[in-house]
Amino acid sequence: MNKPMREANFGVDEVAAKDAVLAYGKRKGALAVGIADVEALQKIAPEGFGPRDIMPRVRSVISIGVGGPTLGAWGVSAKAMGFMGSSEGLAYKIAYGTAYFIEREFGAPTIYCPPDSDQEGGARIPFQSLKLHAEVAGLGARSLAGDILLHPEFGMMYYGSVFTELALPVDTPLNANPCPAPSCVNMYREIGQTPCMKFCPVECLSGEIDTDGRQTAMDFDMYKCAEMSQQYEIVPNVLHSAMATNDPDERSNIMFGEVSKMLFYKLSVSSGGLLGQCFECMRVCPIATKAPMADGVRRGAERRAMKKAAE
Amino acid sequence: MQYPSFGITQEMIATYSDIVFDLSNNIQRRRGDPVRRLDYAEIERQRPGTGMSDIEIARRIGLTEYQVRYIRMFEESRRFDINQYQKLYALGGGRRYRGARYLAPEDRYKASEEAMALKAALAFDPVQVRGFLERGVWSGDTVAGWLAGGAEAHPDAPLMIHDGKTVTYAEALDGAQRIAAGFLKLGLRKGDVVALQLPNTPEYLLTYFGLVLVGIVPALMHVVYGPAELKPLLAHVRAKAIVTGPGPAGDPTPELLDLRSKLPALAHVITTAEVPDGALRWSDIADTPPLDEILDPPVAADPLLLAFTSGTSANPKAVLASNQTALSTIIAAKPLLGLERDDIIMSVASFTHMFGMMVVHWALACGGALLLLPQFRPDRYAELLEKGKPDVLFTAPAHVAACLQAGLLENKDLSSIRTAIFSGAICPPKLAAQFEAVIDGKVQQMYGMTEAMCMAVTRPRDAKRVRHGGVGRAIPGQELRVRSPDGAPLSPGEEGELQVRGGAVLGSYLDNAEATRAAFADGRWFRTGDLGSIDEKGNVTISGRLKDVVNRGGVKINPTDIEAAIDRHPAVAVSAIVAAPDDLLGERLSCFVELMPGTALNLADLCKFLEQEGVPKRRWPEYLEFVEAMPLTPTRKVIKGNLPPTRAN
Repeated sequence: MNKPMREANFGVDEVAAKDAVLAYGKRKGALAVGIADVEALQKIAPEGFGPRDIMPRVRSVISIGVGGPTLGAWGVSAKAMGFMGSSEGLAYKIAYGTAYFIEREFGAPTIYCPPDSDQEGGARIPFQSLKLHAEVAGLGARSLAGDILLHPEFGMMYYGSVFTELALPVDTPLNANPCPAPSCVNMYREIGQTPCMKFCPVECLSGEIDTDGRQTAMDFDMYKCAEMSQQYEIVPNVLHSAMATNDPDERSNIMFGEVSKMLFYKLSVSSGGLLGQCFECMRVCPIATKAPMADGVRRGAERRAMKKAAE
Repeated sequence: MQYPSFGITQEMIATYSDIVFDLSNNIQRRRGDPVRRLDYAEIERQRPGTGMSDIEIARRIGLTEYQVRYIRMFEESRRFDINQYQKLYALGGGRRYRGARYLAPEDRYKASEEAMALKAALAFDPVQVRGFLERGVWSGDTVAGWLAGGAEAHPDAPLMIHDGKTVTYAEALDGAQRIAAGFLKLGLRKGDVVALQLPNTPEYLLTYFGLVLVGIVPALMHVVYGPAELKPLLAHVRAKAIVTGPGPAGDPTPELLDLRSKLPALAHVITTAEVPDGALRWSDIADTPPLDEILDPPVAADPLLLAFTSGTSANPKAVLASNQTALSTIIAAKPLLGLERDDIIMSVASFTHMFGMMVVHWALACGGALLLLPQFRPDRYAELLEKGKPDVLFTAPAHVAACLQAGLLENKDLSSIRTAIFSGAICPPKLAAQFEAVIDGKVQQMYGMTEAMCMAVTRPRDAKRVRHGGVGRAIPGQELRVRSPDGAPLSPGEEGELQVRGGAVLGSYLDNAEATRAAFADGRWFRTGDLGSIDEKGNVTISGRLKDVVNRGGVKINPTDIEAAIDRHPAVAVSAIVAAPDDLLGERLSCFVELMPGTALNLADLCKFLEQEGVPKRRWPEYLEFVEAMPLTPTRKVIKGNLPPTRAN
């Protein structure tokens, strides 16, 4: 009984369904919602990481973008921002809601794409690249800052994805890449670096810009970035070091030292704040911080104005 | 290491680890913008550069997926620097990271072995410390903080007055910051010890402030000490540098340079005088550009200064004061001494003594100015008392006695002196009254010692009888009691040993556990060695000392090594030095000798012998007495209390 329904797209008009999905996402707080072409994703994603590797009958990948940090967050210390800067939780929440919304409204099997690591893939290997979904859906383009996606209107966003067997009209990637911004091009021409390259604490970024102000090369030492902003190697390292030493005092220091106690606290209360981003590259990025809708207050005002107009 | 379950050998790891690492997401190299353009051919072409999955890498290099995964993970762990995240903590809001600016915490706060050994002397009873903190006896204040605070609050106010010139608080801070930078440039760092042997001059104070700004610990060296006396002291505190200059015995710099070969820790000799080869010029240190930031500034619990309580014997007693111990009595006694903002404060006590340093700290505490007298000489002292117009005078009774005896205070206008605080030795009430008669203000007395700083003071409103006849009552944060020789409590007015407990009492003598054990009674009461009594109202009177140390005009002389030298004389069977009362100096050294049979000795010959033995002249006995048989204990220790009174000879 299901098969004919699928072929008929569950009896749903694609365009109307897309409008409803987009409206739902925006109503729930998304800045942007787009549909990525599954065929494109299958071709681009590394082997084993295409949408169909998770959901064989997926016909549409919905990418949901939510706002980045508040303007104030760009001015606080990096360690504080590691805790407050992320709002991916909102993206996941909307994605979850969208999945239920589609199943409820259209009867099409839908999943919230897991954002976590793939236990079969090993450490730091995600189930899917949410970034790739967003890029193909037109929610951002790769920047010189380690390929963090930037949007000309919303700046930096966090993403969530939804896979569904419902066919929806696909969007296309952005026509133009907002990165580098004109001011960054000027800086590059003067010193050979853009702000993100210059201010990266671990110097993990480098690249080239052509005479037309377009990216020609982006080099990213991701492991250096991860050393700075992620700490998953520390837990086994602490345990290994403690086991390896023959000195009881040193062992105590390793196990109960400042870093260890903090880590074990994080583990015991399942607080992920320690795995915070560095974001020094975004802190100095004119697109991330100064794009027209990067300002949460402005976004809110716009939202309220739209709501009032609708009433 | 081998992983047979996946067929991985160590050789495979060595061969493939770099390759796998580079092909994975760890290194990403993108050219152009192929994904946004959906340029599939280009995406495929760039895949090895932009990051491949383990399956793709496995296929490309001919291993299994699991082999690739394990090699990748182990290589990632091997390369991963787990401490990089600490760099985030160095970033403030809006502050950009710079590699050159960053210093890892383990480097920023690293303490040398010497610094750790020094800090070990700050050993206190945790229960007492809790009380000190709860009652505010110990605060978070530091000398460095007081100086910086003074420079901010009243930058143009004078801190030092010397030879008609002034050094303001702002100038003092700037000078201190330069000196601090100079010492750091020499390779010294927080917790290192620098000996300080200068008269009461701006150079002394700027050096002191410079050292304490960065937590380098000054060790105070009496200005009259020569190299022979300095050597065991420098060795004991592991001094890495000494700042010196011309003193009463000339310029010790050349001999100190020679001493370096015998003192491995002593790397630098810095002098305010002519610079011989191998020494450093103080002015060069003082001209160093100041630092932008002091990386690990001292805190209140950090060591502040070292001072010696007894002579230059092989086992010196060095007292390490922390900011907390040193400043606790400064804060507590300041209102009791009536110190006011902008006071001109004169100290006759040498800044190489704890008494002198307490005066320095009081000046900082009240925002006052120090009127400097580089070295005591009665005529200069009397002159400065009039011309310098001090509001407050800190002096030892002997200083005043010398001036009064010589008639130097007659016809002087000393009306500026609001308060004169006598300390350092027992003050005859008559002397206090005599001095009060020549000033407009009041004489107060203070009871203090290196190990416990200020313990008691008389109050300005106390009756003359109290102010002139004793040392006053215990200050807040310090407790005093009197005990009999067997440790029993004594009634008010009964004479016994004074014992003190409080926030300014030392933790322990540096590297001298035996002396520390002997110094404390149960409950961490410090045994002062002073004889005294406390009346019903808590007023303390000092009547003498249990200790053998002779207090010659405020200079405390431990006779042990002098006796040892005298005992080496062929005519001497056994000797003992005791204090002989003296109107001018308070005490002089009197030597009792039991002669070898058939020998003779006179004072001149004895002094000549001591000169040959290397004993400095000021430590020579001034009286020589003979006894038929020295009073000895069964273990042949001299019972000095059984010796007869000294006859003038």
